Amino acid sequence: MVNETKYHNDLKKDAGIIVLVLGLLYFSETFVFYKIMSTLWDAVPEARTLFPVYLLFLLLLLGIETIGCITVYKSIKEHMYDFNYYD
Amino acid sequence: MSGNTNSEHAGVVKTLRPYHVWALGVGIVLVGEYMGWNFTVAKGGILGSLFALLVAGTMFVMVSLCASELGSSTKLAGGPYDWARLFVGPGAAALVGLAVYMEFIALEAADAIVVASITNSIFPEIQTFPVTLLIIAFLTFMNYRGVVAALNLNFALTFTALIAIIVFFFANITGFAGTWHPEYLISGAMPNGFIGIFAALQFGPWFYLGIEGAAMCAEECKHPTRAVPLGQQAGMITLLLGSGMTLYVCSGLIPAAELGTSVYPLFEAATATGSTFLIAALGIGTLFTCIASANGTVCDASRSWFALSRDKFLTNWFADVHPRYSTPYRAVIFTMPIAIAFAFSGFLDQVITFSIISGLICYVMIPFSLIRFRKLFPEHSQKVRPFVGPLQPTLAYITIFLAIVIMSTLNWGYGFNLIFGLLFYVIAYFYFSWRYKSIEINHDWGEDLGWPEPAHRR
Repeated sequence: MVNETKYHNDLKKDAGIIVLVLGLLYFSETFVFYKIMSTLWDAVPEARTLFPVYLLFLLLLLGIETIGCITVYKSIKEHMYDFNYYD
Repeated sequence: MSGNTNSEHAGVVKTLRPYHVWALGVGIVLVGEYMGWNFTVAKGGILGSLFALLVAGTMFVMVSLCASELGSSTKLAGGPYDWARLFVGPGAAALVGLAVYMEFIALEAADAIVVASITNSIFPEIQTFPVTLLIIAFLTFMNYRGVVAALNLNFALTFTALIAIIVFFFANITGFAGTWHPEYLISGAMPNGFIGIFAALQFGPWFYLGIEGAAMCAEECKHPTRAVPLGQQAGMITLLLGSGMTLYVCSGLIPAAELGTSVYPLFEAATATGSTFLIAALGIGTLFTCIASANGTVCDASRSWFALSRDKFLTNWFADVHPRYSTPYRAVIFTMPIAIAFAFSGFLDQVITFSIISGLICYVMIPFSLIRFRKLFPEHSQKVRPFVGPLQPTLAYITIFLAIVIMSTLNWGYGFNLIFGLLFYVIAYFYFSWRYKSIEINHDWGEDLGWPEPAHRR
Protein backbone atom coordinates (compact mmCIF):
# COMPACT_ATOMS: atom_id res chain seq x y z
CA MET A 1 0.00 0.00 0.00
CA VAL A 2 1.49 3.32 -1.09
CA ASN A 3 1.65 6.10 1.47
CA GLU A 4 0.18 8.92 -0.62
CA THR A 5 0.93 11.67 1.91
CA LYS A 6 4.62 10.70 1.95
CA TYR A 7 4.71 10.58 -1.83
CA HIS A 8 3.18 14.03 -2.17
CA ASN A 9 5.53 15.48 0.44
CA ASP A 10 8.58 13.97 -1.24
CA LEU A 11 7.38 15.17 -4.63
CA LYS A 12 7.07 18.65 -3.15
CA LYS A 13 10.67 18.36 -1.91
CA ASP A 14 11.85 17.45 -5.42
CA ALA A 15 9.86 20.38 -6.83
CA GLY A 16 11.30 22.65 -4.13
CA ILE A 17 14.87 21.72 -5.06
CA ILE A 18 14.15 22.37 -8.74
CA VAL A 19 12.53 25.76 -8.01
CA LEU A 20 15.38 26.75 -5.66
CA VAL A 21 18.20 25.98 -8.09
CA LEU A 22 16.27 27.50 -11.00
CA GLY A 23 15.75 30.66 -8.94
CA LEU A 24 19.47 30.83 -8.19
CA LEU A 25 20.22 30.28 -11.87
CA TYR A 26 17.90 33.11 -12.97
CA PHE A 27 19.46 35.43 -10.43
CA SER A 28 23.11 34.67 -11.18
CA GLU A 29 22.85 34.54 -14.99
CA THR A 30 20.79 37.72 -15.31
CA PHE A 31 22.99 39.49 -12.75
CA VAL A 32 26.22 38.55 -14.55
CA PHE A 33 24.69 39.36 -17.94
CA TYR A 34 23.37 42.73 -16.74
CA LYS A 35 26.61 43.73 -14.99
CA ILE A 36 28.87 42.91 -17.94
CA MET A 37 26.57 44.44 -20.54
CA SER A 38 25.85 47.59 -18.53
CA THR A 39 29.57 48.08 -17.86
CA LEU A 40 30.42 47.82 -21.56
CA TRP A 41 27.28 49.51 -22.96
CA ASP A 42 28.70 53.05 -23.32
CA ALA A 43 32.43 52.27 -23.48
CA VAL A 44 32.31 49.54 -26.15
CA PRO A 45 29.85 50.37 -28.96
CA GLU A 46 30.04 46.81 -30.36
CA ALA A 47 28.33 45.57 -27.20
CA ARG A 48 25.10 47.25 -28.37
CA THR A 49 25.40 45.62 -31.79
CA LEU A 50 25.89 42.20 -30.25
CA PHE A 51 23.27 42.63 -27.53
CA PRO A 52 20.35 40.94 -29.40
CA VAL A 53 22.45 37.82 -30.07
CA TYR A 54 23.53 37.60 -26.44
CA LEU A 55 19.96 38.13 -25.24
CA LEU A 56 18.70 35.44 -27.62
CA PHE A 57 21.12 32.84 -26.22
CA LEU A 58 20.42 33.90 -22.63
CA LEU A 59 16.70 33.41 -23.20
CA LEU A 60 17.30 30.11 -25.01
CA LEU A 61 19.50 28.86 -22.18
CA LEU A 62 17.08 29.81 -19.41
CA GLY A 63 13.99 28.86 -21.41
CA ILE A 64 15.16 25.38 -22.43
CA GLU A 65 16.47 24.65 -18.94
CA THR A 66 13.14 25.71 -17.43
CA ILE A 67 11.14 23.58 -19.87
CA GLY A 68 13.53 20.71 -19.13
CA CYS A 69 12.98 21.03 -15.37
CA ILE A 70 9.20 21.22 -15.76
CA THR A 71 9.34 18.07 -17.91
CA VAL A 72 11.43 16.29 -15.26
CA TYR A 73 8.88 17.27 -12.59
CA LYS A 74 5.95 16.06 -14.71
CA SER A 75 7.76 12.79 -15.45
CA ILE A 76 8.41 12.14 -11.76
CA LYS A 77 4.80 12.95 -10.89
CA GLU A 78 3.50 10.67 -13.64
CA HIS A 79 5.64 7.65 -12.75
CA MET A 80 6.13 7.97 -8.98
CA TYR A 81 3.56 5.30 -8.11
CA ASP A 82 4.51 2.97 -10.98
CA PHE A 83 8.18 2.84 -10.00
CA ASN A 84 7.75 3.38 -6.23
CA TYR A 85 10.12 6.38 -6.27
CA TYR A 86 9.75 7.31 -2.63
CA ASP A 87 9.69 3.93 -0.86
CA MET B 1 31.65 5.07 -13.46
CA SER B 2 30.92 4.18 -17.01
CA GLY B 3 31.19 0.63 -16.05
CA ASN B 4 29.49 -0.91 -19.02
CA THR B 5 30.57 -4.33 -17.92
CA ASN B 6 28.56 -7.40 -17.33
CA SER B 7 31.18 -8.99 -15.19
CA GLU B 8 31.97 -5.96 -13.12
CA HIS B 9 28.37 -4.99 -12.53
CA ALA B 10 26.98 -8.45 -12.06
CA GLY B 11 24.85 -8.40 -8.93
CA VAL B 12 25.55 -4.72 -8.44
CA VAL B 13 23.51 -3.07 -5.70
CA LYS B 14 21.31 -0.35 -7.14
CA THR B 15 21.62 2.29 -4.46
CA LEU B 16 22.56 5.52 -6.20
CA ARG B 17 20.21 8.48 -5.80
CA PRO B 18 19.81 11.80 -7.64
CA TYR B 19 22.49 13.52 -5.55
CA HIS B 20 24.99 10.80 -6.53
CA VAL B 21 24.21 11.48 -10.19
CA TRP B 22 24.67 15.19 -9.51
CA ALA B 23 27.97 14.61 -7.71
CA LEU B 24 29.38 12.35 -10.40
CA GLY B 25 28.66 14.82 -13.20
CA VAL B 26 29.69 17.96 -11.34
CA GLY B 27 32.72 16.20 -9.82
CA ILE B 28 34.31 15.65 -13.20
CA VAL B 29 33.32 18.98 -14.72
CA LEU B 30 33.67 21.60 -11.97
CA VAL B 31 37.40 21.77 -12.64
CA GLY B 32 36.41 23.62 -15.83
CA GLU B 33 35.44 26.63 -13.71
CA TYR B 34 38.81 26.56 -11.95
CA MET B 35 40.98 26.44 -15.07
CA GLY B 36 40.85 26.28 -18.84
CA TRP B 37 37.69 28.36 -19.48
CA ASN B 38 39.78 31.55 -19.34
CA PHE B 39 41.33 30.79 -22.74
CA THR B 40 38.03 32.16 -24.09
CA VAL B 41 39.21 35.54 -22.76
CA ALA B 42 42.52 35.24 -24.63
CA LYS B 43 40.59 34.71 -27.87
CA GLY B 44 37.65 37.05 -27.58
CA GLY B 45 38.04 39.11 -24.43
CA ILE B 46 35.27 39.40 -21.84
CA LEU B 47 32.54 39.70 -24.47
CA GLY B 48 33.91 36.60 -26.20
CA SER B 49 33.93 34.70 -22.94
CA LEU B 50 30.32 35.69 -22.16
CA PHE B 51 29.29 34.66 -25.67
CA ALA B 52 31.05 31.29 -25.29
CA LEU B 53 29.44 30.77 -21.88
CA LEU B 54 25.94 31.39 -23.27
CA VAL B 55 26.25 29.46 -26.54
CA ALA B 56 28.09 26.48 -25.05
CA GLY B 57 25.70 26.59 -22.08
CA THR B 58 22.70 26.37 -24.41
CA MET B 59 24.28 23.44 -26.23
CA PHE B 60 25.04 21.59 -23.00
CA VAL B 61 21.53 22.12 -21.61
CA MET B 62 20.27 20.33 -24.73
CA VAL B 63 22.96 17.62 -24.49
CA SER B 64 21.87 17.03 -20.88
CA LEU B 65 18.26 16.60 -21.93
CA CYS B 66 19.29 14.13 -24.64
CA ALA B 67 21.47 12.22 -22.15
CA SER B 68 18.65 12.20 -19.58
CA GLU B 69 16.23 10.61 -22.02
CA LEU B 70 18.74 8.08 -23.34
CA GLY B 71 20.15 7.25 -19.91
CA SER B 72 16.81 6.76 -18.18
CA SER B 73 15.55 4.65 -21.10
CA THR B 74 18.49 2.29 -21.57
CA LYS B 75 19.65 2.26 -17.91
CA LEU B 76 23.09 1.12 -19.07
CA ALA B 77 26.39 2.24 -17.59
CA GLY B 78 28.21 2.71 -20.89
CA GLY B 79 26.56 6.04 -21.58
CA PRO B 80 27.26 7.51 -25.02
CA TYR B 81 29.08 4.33 -26.09
CA ASP B 82 26.07 2.14 -25.36
CA TRP B 83 23.62 4.59 -26.93
CA ALA B 84 25.63 4.65 -30.16
CA ARG B 85 26.03 0.84 -30.05
CA LEU B 86 22.30 0.28 -29.68
CA PHE B 87 20.86 2.96 -31.94
CA VAL B 88 23.50 3.87 -34.53
CA GLY B 89 25.97 1.07 -35.25
CA PRO B 90 29.26 -0.58 -34.36
CA GLY B 91 31.55 1.89 -36.13
CA ALA B 92 29.86 4.83 -34.40
CA ALA B 93 29.93 3.00 -31.06
CA ALA B 94 33.67 2.42 -31.28
CA LEU B 95 34.18 6.00 -32.39
CA VAL B 96 32.24 7.34 -29.40
CA GLY B 97 33.97 4.92 -27.00
CA LEU B 98 37.34 6.13 -28.22
CA ALA B 99 36.26 9.79 -28.12
CA VAL B 100 35.05 9.44 -24.51
CA TYR B 101 38.38 7.76 -23.66
CA MET B 102 40.45 10.53 -25.23
CA GLU B 103 38.25 13.31 -23.82
CA PHE B 104 38.76 12.08 -20.28
CA ILE B 105 42.43 11.10 -20.63
CA ALA B 106 43.32 14.54 -21.97
CA LEU B 107 41.30 16.07 -19.12
CA GLU B 108 43.26 13.96 -16.62
CA ALA B 109 46.53 15.18 -18.11
CA ALA B 110 45.31 18.80 -17.95
CA ASP B 111 44.31 18.37 -14.29
CA ALA B 112 47.70 16.87 -13.43
CA ILE B 113 49.52 19.73 -15.19
CA VAL B 114 47.55 22.30 -13.15
CA VAL B 115 48.20 20.55 -9.83
CA ALA B 116 51.91 20.36 -10.72
CA SER B 117 51.92 24.06 -11.67
CA ILE B 118 50.38 25.00 -8.31
CA THR B 119 52.98 22.87 -6.53
CA ASN B 120 55.69 24.57 -8.54
CA SER B 121 54.36 28.03 -7.65
CA ILE B 122 54.43 27.14 -3.94
CA PHE B 123 57.76 25.28 -4.09
CA PRO B 124 59.73 26.76 -7.05
CA GLU B 125 62.57 24.27 -6.60
CA ILE B 126 60.28 21.39 -7.58
CA GLN B 127 59.98 20.82 -11.33
CA THR B 128 56.56 20.52 -12.94
CA PHE B 129 56.91 17.37 -15.08
CA PRO B 130 58.02 14.92 -12.34
CA VAL B 131 55.12 16.08 -10.16
CA THR B 132 52.73 15.58 -13.09
CA LEU B 133 54.03 12.01 -13.48
CA LEU B 134 53.68 11.36 -9.77
CA ILE B 135 50.06 12.56 -9.72
CA ILE B 136 49.11 10.44 -12.73
CA ALA B 137 50.79 7.39 -11.17
CA PHE B 138 49.07 7.98 -7.81
CA LEU B 139 45.59 8.32 -9.34
CA THR B 140 46.16 5.23 -11.50
CA PHE B 141 47.10 3.28 -8.40
CA MET B 142 43.99 4.49 -6.52
CA ASN B 143 41.75 3.39 -9.38
CA TYR B 144 43.62 0.09 -9.66
CA ARG B 145 42.72 -0.65 -6.04
CA GLY B 146 39.04 0.29 -6.43
CA VAL B 147 36.90 3.34 -6.91
CA VAL B 148 34.13 3.34 -4.33
CA ALA B 149 36.10 5.09 -1.61
CA ALA B 150 37.74 7.34 -4.18
CA LEU B 151 34.36 8.48 -5.54
CA ASN B 152 32.99 9.13 -2.07
CA LEU B 153 36.03 11.30 -1.46
CA ASN B 154 35.33 12.98 -4.80
CA PHE B 155 31.90 14.07 -3.60
CA ALA B 156 33.37 15.83 -0.57
CA LEU B 157 36.13 17.48 -2.65
CA THR B 158 33.67 18.68 -5.28
CA PHE B 159 31.21 20.09 -2.77
CA THR B 160 33.99 22.01 -1.02
CA ALA B 161 35.19 23.44 -4.33
CA LEU B 162 31.64 24.48 -5.30
CA ILE B 163 30.98 26.19 -1.98
CA ALA B 164 34.27 28.10 -2.40
CA ILE B 165 33.05 29.57 -5.73
CA ILE B 166 29.64 30.55 -4.31
CA VAL B 167 31.15 32.15 -1.20
CA PHE B 168 33.67 34.03 -3.37
CA PHE B 169 30.90 35.35 -5.65
CA PHE B 170 28.61 36.57 -2.88
CA ALA B 171 31.55 37.99 -0.87
CA ASN B 172 32.55 39.99 -3.94
CA ILE B 173 29.14 41.36 -4.93
CA THR B 174 28.43 42.37 -1.35
CA GLY B 175 31.74 44.24 -1.17
CA PHE B 176 33.42 42.00 1.40
CA ALA B 177 36.11 40.65 -0.90
CA GLY B 178 38.13 42.87 -3.20
CA THR B 179 37.15 45.69 -5.53
CA TRP B 180 35.49 44.75 -8.79
CA HIS B 181 37.17 46.79 -11.55
CA PRO B 182 34.89 47.80 -14.47
CA GLU B 183 37.95 49.18 -16.28
CA TYR B 184 39.38 45.65 -16.59
CA LEU B 185 36.28 44.65 -18.56
CA ILE B 186 36.40 47.74 -20.77
CA SER B 187 40.11 47.42 -21.61
CA GLY B 188 39.75 43.71 -22.37
CA ALA B 189 36.26 43.67 -23.85
CA MET B 190 37.08 42.38 -27.33
CA PRO B 191 40.81 42.48 -28.16
CA ASN B 192 40.46 40.58 -31.45
CA GLY B 193 37.22 42.11 -32.75
CA PHE B 194 34.18 40.15 -33.89
CA ILE B 195 36.31 37.25 -35.17
CA GLY B 196 37.78 36.90 -31.67
CA ILE B 197 34.32 36.69 -30.13
CA PHE B 198 33.38 33.91 -32.52
CA ALA B 199 36.75 32.17 -32.02
CA ALA B 200 36.21 32.21 -28.23
CA LEU B 201 33.53 29.56 -28.76
CA GLN B 202 36.28 26.94 -29.11
CA PHE B 203 37.03 27.02 -25.38
CA GLY B 204 33.40 27.54 -24.31
CA PRO B 205 32.75 23.80 -23.83
CA TRP B 206 35.40 23.76 -21.08
CA PHE B 207 32.85 25.33 -18.70
CA TYR B 208 30.70 22.17 -18.94
CA LEU B 209 32.78 19.46 -20.65
CA GLY B 210 31.87 15.96 -19.45
CA ILE B 211 28.47 16.64 -17.83
CA GLU B 212 27.00 13.85 -19.96
CA GLY B 213 29.04 11.51 -17.75
CA ALA B 214 26.41 11.93 -15.02
CA ALA B 215 24.04 9.64 -16.90
CA MET B 216 26.67 6.90 -16.93
CA CYS B 217 25.71 5.69 -13.45
CA ALA B 218 22.15 4.86 -14.57
CA GLU B 219 22.79 1.14 -14.15
CA GLU B 220 23.60 1.59 -10.48
CA CYS B 221 20.68 3.92 -9.65
CA LYS B 222 17.83 2.76 -7.46
CA HIS B 223 15.31 4.62 -9.64
CA PRO B 224 17.14 5.63 -12.81
CA THR B 225 14.01 7.12 -14.38
CA ARG B 226 13.93 9.67 -11.54
CA ALA B 227 17.59 9.90 -10.53
CA VAL B 228 19.11 10.42 -13.99
CA PRO B 229 16.91 13.30 -15.26
CA LEU B 230 16.77 15.02 -11.86
CA GLY B 231 20.48 14.60 -11.07
CA GLN B 232 21.53 15.51 -14.61
CA GLN B 233 19.47 18.72 -14.71
CA ALA B 234 20.55 19.72 -11.19
CA GLY B 235 24.17 19.14 -12.24
CA MET B 236 23.73 21.23 -15.37
CA ILE B 237 22.19 24.10 -13.40
CA THR B 238 25.05 23.91 -10.89
CA LEU B 239 27.59 24.27 -13.68
CA LEU B 240 25.69 27.18 -15.23
CA LEU B 241 25.69 28.86 -11.82
CA GLY B 242 29.40 28.17 -11.33
CA SER B 243 30.38 29.39 -14.79
CA GLY B 244 28.50 32.69 -14.52
CA MET B 245 29.87 33.41 -11.05
CA THR B 246 33.42 32.49 -12.11
CA LEU B 247 33.35 34.73 -15.18
CA TYR B 248 32.00 37.62 -13.13
CA VAL B 249 34.55 37.57 -10.31
CA CYS B 250 37.56 36.80 -12.50
CA SER B 251 36.76 39.42 -15.15
CA GLY B 252 36.52 42.17 -12.54
CA LEU B 253 39.51 41.16 -10.44
CA ILE B 254 42.17 40.21 -13.01
CA PRO B 255 43.13 42.32 -16.07
CA ALA B 256 41.96 40.50 -19.22
CA ALA B 257 45.48 40.11 -20.64
CA GLU B 258 46.57 38.20 -17.52
CA LEU B 259 43.30 36.34 -17.18
CA GLY B 260 43.62 34.93 -20.71
CA THR B 261 46.89 33.17 -19.95
CA SER B 262 46.34 32.17 -16.31
CA VAL B 263 46.74 28.52 -15.33
CA TYR B 264 44.48 28.87 -12.26
CA PRO B 265 42.33 32.01 -12.72
CA LEU B 266 40.01 31.61 -9.70
CA PHE B 267 42.97 31.25 -7.36
CA GLU B 268 44.59 34.34 -8.90
CA ALA B 269 41.33 36.28 -8.57
CA ALA B 270 41.17 35.32 -4.90
CA THR B 271 44.79 36.43 -4.50
CA ALA B 272 43.83 39.81 -5.98
CA THR B 273 41.28 40.34 -3.18
CA GLY B 274 43.99 40.03 -0.51
CA SER B 275 41.63 38.01 1.68
CA THR B 276 43.56 35.21 3.36
CA PHE B 277 40.39 33.17 3.82
CA LEU B 278 39.45 33.37 0.14
CA ILE B 279 43.01 32.71 -1.04
CA ALA B 280 43.10 29.55 1.09
CA ALA B 281 39.55 28.52 0.06
CA LEU B 282 40.14 28.95 -3.67
CA GLY B 283 43.63 27.42 -3.49
CA ILE B 284 42.20 24.37 -1.77
CA GLY B 285 39.25 24.41 -4.18
CA THR B 286 41.59 24.38 -7.18
CA LEU B 287 43.61 21.48 -5.80
CA PHE B 288 40.52 19.53 -4.70
CA THR B 289 38.64 19.94 -7.93
CA CYS B 290 41.67 18.98 -10.05
CA ILE B 291 42.24 15.83 -8.01
CA ALA B 292 38.53 14.96 -7.98
CA SER B 293 38.25 15.51 -11.70
CA ALA B 294 41.42 13.58 -12.56
CA ASN B 295 40.31 10.72 -10.35
CA GLY B 296 36.88 10.59 -12.00
CA THR B 297 38.37 10.74 -15.47
CA VAL B 298 40.73 7.80 -14.83
CA CYS B 299 37.67 5.86 -13.73
CA ASP B 300 35.53 6.83 -16.75
CA ALA B 301 38.30 6.52 -19.35
CA SER B 302 39.36 3.07 -18.16
CA ARG B 303 35.74 1.83 -18.26
CA SER B 304 35.34 3.10 -21.79
CA TRP B 305 38.55 1.31 -22.88
CA PHE B 306 37.39 -1.79 -21.01
CA ALA B 307 34.02 -1.70 -22.79
CA LEU B 308 35.72 -1.43 -26.19
CA SER B 309 37.90 -4.38 -25.30
CA ARG B 310 35.05 -6.51 -23.92
CA ASP B 311 33.04 -5.93 -27.11
CA LYS B 312 36.12 -7.02 -29.12
CA PHE B 313 36.81 -3.65 -30.71
CA LEU B 314 40.25 -3.96 -29.11
CA THR B 315 42.27 -6.92 -27.97
CA ASN B 316 40.40 -8.83 -25.28
CA TRP B 317 43.48 -8.61 -23.07
CA PHE B 318 42.24 -5.29 -21.62
CA ALA B 319 38.92 -6.82 -20.55
CA ASP B 320 40.40 -8.65 -17.60
CA VAL B 321 38.93 -7.86 -14.16
CA HIS B 322 41.14 -7.94 -11.09
CA PRO B 323 40.24 -11.01 -8.97
CA ARG B 324 40.60 -9.17 -5.69
CA TYR B 325 39.71 -5.52 -6.35
CA SER B 326 37.11 -6.18 -9.09
CA THR B 327 38.50 -3.38 -11.23
CA PRO B 328 39.41 -3.52 -14.94
CA TYR B 329 43.01 -3.17 -13.85
CA ARG B 330 44.72 -3.58 -17.24
CA ALA B 331 42.53 -0.86 -18.75
CA VAL B 332 43.21 1.30 -15.68
CA ILE B 333 46.99 0.86 -15.96
CA PHE B 334 46.85 1.60 -19.69
CA THR B 335 45.47 5.08 -18.97
CA MET B 336 48.84 6.00 -17.50
CA PRO B 337 51.11 5.99 -20.61
CA ILE B 338 48.46 7.82 -22.66
CA ALA B 339 47.97 10.50 -19.99
CA ILE B 340 51.74 10.89 -19.69
CA ALA B 341 52.02 11.29 -23.44
CA PHE B 342 49.48 14.15 -23.30
CA ALA B 343 51.14 15.70 -20.25
CA PHE B 344 54.59 15.44 -21.87
CA SER B 345 53.70 18.30 -24.23
CA GLY B 346 53.28 20.51 -21.15
CA PHE B 347 51.01 22.89 -23.11
CA LEU B 348 47.72 23.12 -21.27
CA ASP B 349 45.82 24.69 -24.17
CA GLN B 350 46.93 21.94 -26.58
CA VAL B 351 45.82 19.21 -24.21
CA ILE B 352 42.52 20.97 -23.55
CA THR B 353 41.93 21.42 -27.28
CA PHE B 354 42.20 17.68 -27.97
CA SER B 355 39.84 16.98 -25.08
CA ILE B 356 37.35 19.48 -26.50
CA ILE B 357 37.56 17.97 -30.02
CA SER B 358 36.89 14.52 -28.54
CA GLY B 359 34.03 15.90 -26.47
CA LEU B 360 32.47 17.62 -29.47
CA ILE B 361 32.53 14.32 -31.41
CA CYS B 362 30.42 12.94 -28.54
CA TYR B 363 28.10 15.96 -28.63
CA VAL B 364 27.37 15.24 -32.27
CA MET B 365 26.83 11.54 -31.62
CA ILE B 366 24.67 11.77 -28.47
CA PRO B 367 21.82 13.78 -30.10
CA PHE B 368 22.21 11.68 -33.25
CA SER B 369 21.72 8.56 -31.09
CA LEU B 370 18.56 10.15 -29.68
CA ILE B 371 17.21 10.90 -33.16
CA ARG B 372 17.83 7.29 -34.18
CA PHE B 373 16.34 6.04 -30.89
CA ARG B 374 13.11 7.95 -31.50
CA LYS B 375 12.92 6.62 -35.07
CA LEU B 376 13.52 3.03 -33.98
CA PHE B 377 11.12 3.24 -31.03
CA PRO B 378 8.54 5.94 -31.72
CA GLU B 379 6.22 4.96 -28.87
CA HIS B 380 6.42 6.84 -25.55
CA SER B 381 5.66 3.78 -23.44
CA GLN B 382 6.62 3.43 -19.78
CA LYS B 383 8.92 0.53 -20.62
CA VAL B 384 10.82 2.06 -23.55
CA ARG B 385 10.81 5.79 -22.73
CA PRO B 386 9.88 6.58 -19.12
CA PHE B 387 11.31 10.10 -19.40
CA VAL B 388 10.25 11.96 -22.54
CA GLY B 389 12.53 14.93 -23.15
CA PRO B 390 10.91 18.18 -24.32
CA LEU B 391 10.97 19.60 -27.86
CA GLN B 392 12.70 16.55 -29.33
CA PRO B 393 14.05 15.82 -31.90
CA THR B 394 14.26 19.56 -32.68
CA LEU B 395 16.68 20.18 -29.79
CA ALA B 396 18.81 17.24 -30.95
CA TYR B 397 19.21 18.78 -34.41
CA ILE B 398 20.10 22.19 -32.90
CA THR B 399 22.67 20.51 -30.62
CA ILE B 400 24.38 18.85 -33.58
CA PHE B 401 24.43 22.19 -35.42
CA LEU B 402 25.94 24.05 -32.44
CA ALA B 403 28.54 21.31 -31.82
CA ILE B 404 29.70 21.51 -35.44
CA VAL B 405 29.79 25.33 -35.33
CA ILE B 406 31.88 25.27 -32.13
CA MET B 407 34.19 22.64 -33.64
CA SER B 408 34.68 24.80 -36.74
CA THR B 409 35.89 27.72 -34.58
CA LEU B 410 38.97 25.67 -33.65
CA ASN B 411 40.16 26.70 -37.11
CA TRP B 412 41.31 29.97 -35.49
CA GLY B 413 44.55 29.07 -33.75
CA TYR B 414 44.16 25.31 -33.62
CA GLY B 415 43.46 24.40 -37.25
CA PHE B 416 46.22 21.80 -37.30
CA ASN B 417 44.93 20.22 -34.08
CA LEU B 418 41.41 20.12 -35.54
CA ILE B 419 42.56 18.43 -38.75
CA PHE B 420 44.69 15.94 -36.81
CA GLY B 421 41.86 15.21 -34.38
CA LEU B 422 39.26 14.67 -37.09
CA LEU B 423 41.69 12.56 -39.15
CA PHE B 424 42.37 10.44 -36.09
CA TYR B 425 38.66 9.79 -35.55
CA VAL B 426 37.92 9.17 -39.25
CA ILE B 427 40.70 6.56 -39.38
CA ALA B 428 39.43 5.07 -36.12
CA TYR B 429 35.88 4.88 -37.52
CA PHE B 430 36.94 3.01 -40.65
CA TYR B 431 39.33 0.78 -38.73
CA PHE B 432 36.70 -0.26 -36.22
CA SER B 433 34.03 -0.67 -38.91
CA TRP B 434 36.40 -2.97 -40.80
CA ARG B 435 37.38 -4.90 -37.71
CA TYR B 436 33.83 -5.29 -36.53
CA LYS B 437 32.79 -6.96 -39.82
CA SER B 438 34.25 -10.22 -38.57
CA ILE B 439 32.33 -10.12 -35.32
CA GLU B 440 28.74 -11.22 -35.38
CA ILE B 441 26.56 -9.59 -32.78
CA ASN B 442 22.80 -9.62 -32.89
CA HIS B 443 20.80 -7.38 -30.65
CA ASP B 444 17.99 -9.13 -28.90
CA TRP B 445 15.96 -6.11 -27.73
CA GLY B 446 13.59 -8.21 -25.68
CA GLU B 447 16.34 -10.11 -23.86
CA ASP B 448 18.79 -7.21 -23.50
CA LEU B 449 16.41 -4.42 -22.54
CA GLY B 450 12.95 -5.93 -22.24
CA TRP B 451 11.81 -3.86 -25.22
CA PRO B 452 9.70 -4.78 -28.27
CA GLU B 453 11.36 -5.08 -31.68
CA PRO B 454 12.24 -1.75 -33.34
CA ALA B 455 9.62 -0.17 -35.61
CA HIS B 456 11.30 -1.21 -38.89
CA ARG B 457 11.37 -4.92 -37.88
CA ARG B 458 7.71 -5.19 -36.91
